[in-house]
Amino acid sequence: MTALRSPVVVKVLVASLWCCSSFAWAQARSVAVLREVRPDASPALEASLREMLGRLDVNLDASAGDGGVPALAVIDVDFSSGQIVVDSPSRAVTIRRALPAAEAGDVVTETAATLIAASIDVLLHTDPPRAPFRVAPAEAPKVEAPPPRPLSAVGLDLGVGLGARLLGGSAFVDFGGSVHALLSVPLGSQLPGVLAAVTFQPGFDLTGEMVSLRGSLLSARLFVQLELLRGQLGRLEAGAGGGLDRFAFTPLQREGELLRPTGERVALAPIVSGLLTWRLPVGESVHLFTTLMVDGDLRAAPPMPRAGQAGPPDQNDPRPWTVRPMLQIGVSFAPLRARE
Amino acid sequence: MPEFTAAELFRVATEARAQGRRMDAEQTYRELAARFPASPEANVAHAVMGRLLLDLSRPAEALVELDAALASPDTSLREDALANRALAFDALGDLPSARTAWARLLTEFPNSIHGKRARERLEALPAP
Repeated sequence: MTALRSPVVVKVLVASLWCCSSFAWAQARSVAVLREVRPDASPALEASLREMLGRLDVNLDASAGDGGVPALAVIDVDFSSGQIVVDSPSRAVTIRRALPAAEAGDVVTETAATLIAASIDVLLHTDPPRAPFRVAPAEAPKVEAPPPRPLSAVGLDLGVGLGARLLGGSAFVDFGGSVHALLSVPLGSQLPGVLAAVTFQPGFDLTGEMVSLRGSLLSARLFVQLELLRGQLGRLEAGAGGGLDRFAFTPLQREGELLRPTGERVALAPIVSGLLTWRLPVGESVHLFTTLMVDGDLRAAPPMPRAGQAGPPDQNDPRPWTVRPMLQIGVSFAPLRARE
Repeated sequence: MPEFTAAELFRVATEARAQGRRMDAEQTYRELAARFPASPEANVAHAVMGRLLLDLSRPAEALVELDAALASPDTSLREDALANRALAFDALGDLPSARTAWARLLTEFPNSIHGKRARERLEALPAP
């Protein structure tokens, strides 16, 4: 993984997206099903009938199926025999109409549409509409909210994050990740806790005049923390602690235009650290968090051995800063909740 | 301008109505009825336009078309035209004429599919 770098200015963008749902409500109308047209389907009949029934507030379903919707009428047309059957099973009514034998073409099609529409009008007015004949929107099954999870004696919060760290010297920003576990215990109105965190920078470069250091960084921290604020928009926590930074790096000796790598080295640095964390609830047990962490390297001058040379480090050798800030954003989940 | 046949005018009018272009449909139906008054297309056009105008809350104009349909020897839509004519009188508030129209429907078509509605209206309408 390659370290990402940018100018000193660190820009962190946190975007929130709210999705709005809308429901389209279809007006409940009766439905007439054009089940069969013999000898051949007639788009002209369908189009004409659709307009006529539309004036009666009846939708025409020409899919030739029952469609699972209680229909006001089911229509069968046989142009060969001149028979029209408008059947209303739910009303136990069957209306039969006859087409003129002498006519053909558009006239008979329009006559059929007119006879069918008049029959549907009869069905609408002979009996007052009853509940089954109106197509009502399907009632959504009730989804009951799950009961809130019981509170436990201790709280456990697990999180992952992405962070940007100012490591030093050449003032590059090194991006990395983090994982943490927060164990908290309710104490009065407070929720003190112990936070264990591991952060890592998969790559960094510290550039000097003659030597550059290229490597990775792994940090382990243990914090004791308290809540400073709590509200509807989350809670602000502060913590203090310490840990270790483990630098694994390769010195690169500059020789003209070339950088000659030497053997990989490891350096450990004891750290004291402080943090501020804002946790924004986004679910019953899920938070988005932002953490500002500031590390202090306990070594007065962090030694980064100069490549290929013995003796004490030179003032111009690249070194990490003694105070190194880091900003993280991430998400956390609480499998155990000590309280809301 | 090309000369349209009755069948062509009827098709144009029907397509216009099916597409919701009701003014075009009405104009073409009227042209058809004026140019080919004795055609089978004109009879159906009168009946269809009568119901269309009734649905558009223009019962007086609907009556003109329905009467024209009833004057035709073609009886394929007569039963429904009689029912629509009675409904047009109802809509106009001409209750005596409505009563006469419903009674005429039952006289000509004793087993009409509109019979139940006709009888209900006759019971509801004031006797002459």
